[in-house]
Amino acid sequence: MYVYGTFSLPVAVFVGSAVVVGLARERAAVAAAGHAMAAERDAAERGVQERRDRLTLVSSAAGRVLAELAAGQADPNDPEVQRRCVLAAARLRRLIAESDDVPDPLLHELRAAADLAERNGLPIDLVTIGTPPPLPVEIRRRLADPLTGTLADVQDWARLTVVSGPDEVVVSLVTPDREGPEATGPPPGEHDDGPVRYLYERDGNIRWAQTQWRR
Amino acid sequence: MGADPVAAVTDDRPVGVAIVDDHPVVVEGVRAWLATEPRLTVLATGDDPDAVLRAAPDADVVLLDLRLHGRMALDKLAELSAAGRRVVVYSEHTDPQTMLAALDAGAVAFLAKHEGREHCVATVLAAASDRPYVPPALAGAMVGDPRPDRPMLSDKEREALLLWFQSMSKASVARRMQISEHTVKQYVDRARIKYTRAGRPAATKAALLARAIEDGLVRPEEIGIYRSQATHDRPTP
Repeated sequence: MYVYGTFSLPVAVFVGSAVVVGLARERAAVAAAGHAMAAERDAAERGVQERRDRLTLVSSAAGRVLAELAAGQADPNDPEVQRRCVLAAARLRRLIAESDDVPDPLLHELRAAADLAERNGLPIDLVTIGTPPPLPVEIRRRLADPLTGTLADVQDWARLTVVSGPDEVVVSLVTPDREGPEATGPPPGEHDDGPVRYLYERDGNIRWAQTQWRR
Repeated sequence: MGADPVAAVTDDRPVGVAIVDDHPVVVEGVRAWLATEPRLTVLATGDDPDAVLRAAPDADVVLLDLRLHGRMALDKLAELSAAGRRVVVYSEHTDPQTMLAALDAGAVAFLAKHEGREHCVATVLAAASDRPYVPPALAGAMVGDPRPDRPMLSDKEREALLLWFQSMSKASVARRMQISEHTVKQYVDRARIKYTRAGRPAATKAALLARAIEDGLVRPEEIGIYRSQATHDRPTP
């Protein structure tokens, strides 16, 4: 009786706590699995959304000119059609570079644009100073797109420069100013596009496009 | 300015240049560039700085390739600069750190090899009279200088450096900043003069600074060498 009286409570507590711990572990495992699944679903959904966004950009970049070429409405010998193709190729190239996993995505994207221009026979200088801070893809697009668009029109030479500090990134494209239509991209002058400032001007000597991000 | 940048040095004799490079083809190329300018004359060339300077002890300017026989000649550069030799470094290594290190070591100017004839001639002429010349690549290195002890540049100086680096055209920079070309050059040169205060002291840096003060480009107090006489006799607390 004495033995029963002494041990019944501790044994009961021990057994009870063991059961509680076991249950808690099980619950935690279930919850963790649930969260992992939710996170995976979120990631997948976000991935799909990003892919969809990119697809929209791709179709606006290349879809129409490709469709017109396929339908025979556009003549590949037409310089305007050729220009649109070059422009579309530049956008596609940058979009492909955008999803690459590299340390300096902005420089990687600009390098991709410079590569393409060079392959099309344009002597281009790309000079970078400093390392850009990590920037969201939206900002990178606003920094690079107006300039890579302009690049598609250039023929003689181009100088693409990037100067980066922790709080500021300035990308500039300088090309000779020839007779002809305004370059592709926003019209001359200054534009504020959120945290990115765009500036374009031509002075008869050079065309100068610059995008500037400030924290 | 507008004055002839070398008037002070040449008077009637041309500027003597020594070229140190371990690639004969580069030496010949640079010699050909400099030959287009009657105010310059090449006195000696070779791949060993000491031998070249023994052959031409009176050289006003030394054009030094920073990479000689596979190694960076930064210590040689510092030695020559400390001895008062006006060294213009020219190199294919145009990463900003190398350029700033060359300035710190006392180089009068840094020229990227791809920057061509006009910049080369202008740099040597300016160096001969202890005046700054900042080619676009060097302007980029200065404006992007990330070091915590970098010289403090004014907003206008930074803007002028940045735009000059981007466009390589002072006329375009002037139009963009709505100032004269002369003022653009002043901003750029003033930024360069502030760099004479960075790194270890060298005779060439002192000469650049002295000439800049003489020309009215900077005032002594602007670059932090102003010392009030009033504090002179005050005991330190």
